Amino acid sequence: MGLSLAASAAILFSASVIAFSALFGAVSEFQSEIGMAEAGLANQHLDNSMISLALEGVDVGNHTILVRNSGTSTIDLRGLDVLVNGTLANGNALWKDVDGDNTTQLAFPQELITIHMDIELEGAAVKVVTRNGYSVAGRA
Amino acid sequence: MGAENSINQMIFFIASVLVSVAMAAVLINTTTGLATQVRGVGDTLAQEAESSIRIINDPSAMPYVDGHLVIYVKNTGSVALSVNGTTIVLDGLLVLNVENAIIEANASTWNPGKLVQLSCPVSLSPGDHLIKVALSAHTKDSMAFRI
Repeated sequence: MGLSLAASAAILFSASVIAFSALFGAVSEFQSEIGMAEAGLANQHLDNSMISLALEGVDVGNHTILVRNSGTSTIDLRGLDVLVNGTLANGNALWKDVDGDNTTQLAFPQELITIHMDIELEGAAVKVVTRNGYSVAGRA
Repeated sequence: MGAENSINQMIFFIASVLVSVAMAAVLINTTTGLATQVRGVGDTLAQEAESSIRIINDPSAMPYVDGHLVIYVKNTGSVALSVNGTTIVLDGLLVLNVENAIIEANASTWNPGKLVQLSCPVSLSPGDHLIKVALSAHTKDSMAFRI
């Protein structure tokens, strides 16, 4: 009788330990993943709040769009999209330069981005969008 | 009498062990299932939190040609997305037969920072309209525009 009780108790105790460890591991992983995602989201919101663009103008004669990084974070030119008259015109952007330097892909705060286009910009509605969706628009 | 008592004890022992093992199996099985579901929910929530899209069209100059409205949607999150689950609602009505194309060379997934072009076969009257693009309950964006 005593042995039966002891054996049953040992089996149930072992099972409880295994079950608890499985559940604890999963809940711990869950909390970790949610925490990391929340931290990433907070970082992204902070980045977004530091991004700002200003459309300085459109040079119709030179077919260029001038955009200044008026925020406090760096803008990656590879993430810029250009819309002209509502249509995506990334393929019409010949090259981009930053303060005259066409070897860099980074625009630091207050630097001027010049987007050289191969299409007519006279009277065109222009919109430039950053990697995270921040945009600036105007008309030539 | 002594032998009968021993047999009874052995039967009682085996029975109690079998019952315990069965209970332990049920406990472990249930808990493992619950743990798997918790992990799955965690993965899904984390993915949702890192997913974000934005319609980048110029609302004053929407490309609407030959009955096709073109929408440009940007992956503004930090994880790659699938275009296939995209739902588009225009003025409250579901848009069907939408053609999509990822604006990136040799890409099969919709990578962060990249665009997808959605071509919607719709009939639009001049005036104000509202378009909504949704990948899931949390990953969605909308834009009001004028034709």
